[in-house]
Amino acid sequence: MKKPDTSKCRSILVVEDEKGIQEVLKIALEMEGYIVYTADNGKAGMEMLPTIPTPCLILLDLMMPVMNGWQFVDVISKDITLATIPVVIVTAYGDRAKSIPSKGILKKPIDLDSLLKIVEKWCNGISK
Amino acid sequence: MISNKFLIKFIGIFCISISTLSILLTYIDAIHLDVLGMDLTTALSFILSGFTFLLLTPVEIAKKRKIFGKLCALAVTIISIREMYFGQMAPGSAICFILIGLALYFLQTHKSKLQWFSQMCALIGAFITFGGIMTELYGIHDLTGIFTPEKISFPRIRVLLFLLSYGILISRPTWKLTEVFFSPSLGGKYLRKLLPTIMGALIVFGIVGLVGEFIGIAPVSGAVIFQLLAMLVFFYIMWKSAVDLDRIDRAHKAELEKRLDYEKLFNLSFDMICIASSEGYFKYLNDAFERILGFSRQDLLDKSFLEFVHPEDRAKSQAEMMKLTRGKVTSTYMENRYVCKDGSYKILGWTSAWAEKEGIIFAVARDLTIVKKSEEDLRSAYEFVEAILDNVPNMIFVKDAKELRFLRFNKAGEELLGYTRGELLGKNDYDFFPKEQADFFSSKDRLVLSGKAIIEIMEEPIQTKHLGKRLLRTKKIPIYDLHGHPQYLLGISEDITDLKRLNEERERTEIILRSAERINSLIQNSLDAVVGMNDEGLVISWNSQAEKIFNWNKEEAIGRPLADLIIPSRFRMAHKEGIKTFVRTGVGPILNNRIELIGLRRGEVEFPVELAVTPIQENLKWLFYAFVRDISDRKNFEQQQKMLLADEHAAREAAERTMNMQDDFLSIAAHELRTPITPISMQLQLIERVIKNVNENQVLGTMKEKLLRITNNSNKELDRLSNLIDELLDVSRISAGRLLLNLEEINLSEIVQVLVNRHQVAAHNAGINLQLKLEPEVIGLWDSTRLESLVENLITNAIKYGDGKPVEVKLETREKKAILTVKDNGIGISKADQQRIFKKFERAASVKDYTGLGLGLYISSEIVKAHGGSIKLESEPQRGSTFLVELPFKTNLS
Repeated sequence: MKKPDTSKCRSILVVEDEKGIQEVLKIALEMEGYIVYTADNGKAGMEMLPTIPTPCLILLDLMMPVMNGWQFVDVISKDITLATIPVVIVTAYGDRAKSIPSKGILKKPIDLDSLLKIVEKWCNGISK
Repeated sequence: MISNKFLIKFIGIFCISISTLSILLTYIDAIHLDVLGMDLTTALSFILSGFTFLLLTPVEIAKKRKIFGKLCALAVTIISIREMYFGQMAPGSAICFILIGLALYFLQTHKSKLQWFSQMCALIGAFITFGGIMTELYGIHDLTGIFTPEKISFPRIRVLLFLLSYGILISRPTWKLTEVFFSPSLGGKYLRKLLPTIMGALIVFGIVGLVGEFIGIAPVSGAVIFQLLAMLVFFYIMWKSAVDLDRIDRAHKAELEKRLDYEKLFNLSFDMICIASSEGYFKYLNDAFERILGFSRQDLLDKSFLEFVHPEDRAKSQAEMMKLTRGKVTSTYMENRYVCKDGSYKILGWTSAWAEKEGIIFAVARDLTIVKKSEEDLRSAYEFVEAILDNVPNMIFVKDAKELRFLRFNKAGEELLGYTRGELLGKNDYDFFPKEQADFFSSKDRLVLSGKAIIEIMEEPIQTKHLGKRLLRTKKIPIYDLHGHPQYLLGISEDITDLKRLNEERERTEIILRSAERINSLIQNSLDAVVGMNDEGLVISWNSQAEKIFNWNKEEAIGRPLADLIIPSRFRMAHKEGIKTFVRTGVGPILNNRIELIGLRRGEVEFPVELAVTPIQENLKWLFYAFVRDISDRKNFEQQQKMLLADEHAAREAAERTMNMQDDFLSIAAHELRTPITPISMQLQLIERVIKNVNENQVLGTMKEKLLRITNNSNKELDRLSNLIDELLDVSRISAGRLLLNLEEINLSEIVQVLVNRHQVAAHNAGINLQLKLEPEVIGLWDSTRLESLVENLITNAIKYGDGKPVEVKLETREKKAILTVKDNGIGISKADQQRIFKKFERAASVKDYTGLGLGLYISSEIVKAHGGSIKLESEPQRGSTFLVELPFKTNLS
């Protein structure tokens, strides 16, 4: 376990309505040294984005109340400041997610190694 | 022979000349008045009388002369009457002149009594003058009265007056007084001998006296000598006339005797034969006269034939006779009518001849009455036949057999062909018809004439002048002469053009009537009601099926407005307007289509009908026939079908929805079941990763906190899985009817209290103020586990759909019931959703926005039901929902 390196962009936004999954993602990523912000739905995520350091990655669930994943992607892709943030979809419905412009898809149940690899890839420079 | 005519003329001229001479001599005063002188009035009277004599004619003719004669005679009478009273004329002369004037006047008359009077006047005149002469002759100077010589003036006047009287008497030899003298009878003979003898004796005595006087030396006056000489002359005339008459009589007699043999012959004649005198007096008649006219010979002989001639024919007959006797013709033929004894008339045809030498007329007459009548009869018979032929409506014609020219043609024929008889007669068919047609006619004619039989041509077309082509039925009949050779061809033609057309029309009408009958019977027996209506909307036809369907019989229906019988009142206006519009414009949208409408039967009962209306124009009026069918049964059947179909449809829809709901449910259930698995699996990977990364000497202590969090989370997820599975089991049990209650006495307050406390955190997280009001002891015989899940469910729902607004949970008792109220102020449930919210797999909110299997309320309501209670929902969208649960303390269910 390494200490989090604050000099680099190490924050990740998790937008996921399922508390259990939110929790476990948070634990797992924190254990890797990332700063994890969680939002219960797309709307909460959108509201949160301006209040936090620009994340190096957004982990996005699709099936959510209030504002779902599709709507969320739609909104940030139109915001120039946010459009560059890579988004990785975390979903049980892999087929449906293909239509969304994203940097990758993680299928539920999530394989921890795959998750960490993708996160590592986009939040570069985190060596083991 | 000295004829009467001659004598009369002589007397007339003599009187005129003596009087004229005496007037002249008186004026020149040449001679002695005693011998020839006379005064002016006397001379004038003689001149007039003499003139009248010259004018005398047979009674029957020469009216102008007669009138003139009458005027002269009248003048003589008037002059002498005047002279008698005022003049110088001697009274005897005046009386004689009056008598002569009257006699002359009445000489012109026909009446027997006046003829008598006329002769009597003449006779008296003669007697007076003769008396005057005798007194002078015999010198009887003491004779008194009118015979006195002074009273009768001069001797010459006496002589003239006597001559006039004598002339009057002989001018009518057949009249009364003179008839005897002139008749050839015995009386006449003796009279004719006697009168001259007496007169001769008187004259001789006179002469002897005069001679004696002369010898006795008495001078004889010139007047006496004059009168004596006149008497001698007169005697001579009379004697001569009597001798002549006797001679003639003898000659006649000899002639008649000579002709006696001829008479026998003549009497055999059928014709009338007669001999008449030059004046027309019958002298000889044969038996045929008596036979034909009915008169005896005595009735006829010595009468003028004119007496027996019809008055209208007299002038003509006399003229004919005059022609003969004046020698203008030697024989004549004439016809006249003769009266018979019975007063009837016969028509006689006369041929006459004049025998100048004998002065007689020979005449033969034939009774033409029968011939004339036959001719008349024949002509009228002919006209009768002609009239019949002309009035026969058929054309009748006769052609000669040789050249086939028309000889006769009746009026109907003229009218038919358009030619007059004048145009037709003498012509043949070729003059009137086209050659082809004429050939046809002629060939038929020849056939008839040669075949000696009647031919009937049933139909022959003929071109007429003014009626165009006509059809004739002609019968042609040959007529033969005595030798059996064809002489005429008789044709009788009937114009059958109109008849034929009428027949054809009648046949057509019959066909139409028959087909109309058939149609009528079809209509009567039709399975559909057939109803006829005129353009005023009145019923004109109503068949038996119409009686059945509409329940009005035919007698009631005919003549009534159709609309009142079979059309519901609300449609009647439209019906009437429809008829009007159609009659006016010919537009009728419902006509000629099958349509369904509402009909009406007796008793204002409505029923569905199907009908087709056909308009028919008849005599410029529209009639409408409707074929109507009662489709109540069909409609009912259709209705049932529709309902069955709808039921089936609904059932299928329900089934489909159930299927869909089950699909949704499975998908949701899968999702829900999978959801906890993801964190659990990740957490296990995490633990694994931690364990791998831990060195052997490294203490887990640093990781302890994190690991606990992980395991704690995993437990929660497993609980959730477990609950989900329990729910599914509950549903499964409820569906199978195996929801068993484990009843025990429990305090519901405690359960509610615990559950509310347990959810305070979750409520807080959701921003909800969860309040609780409860009675401490709500004890009943209930299944605690089930009630726990009921309460749990209601509270979870309230928090889940509470939209962050306060939620109130209240428990109380009322009438041995526990009343649990869970009230939120959240999103609420629509009315529609309220109906199905307690059903299996239902969830009002959308799948995406809210997690859960949607079984909660279903299970809750089943639990309440199982406990004999009830669950109610009051809700309004965006205002919140209130669930009200009533649970009896003791349930009847075990």
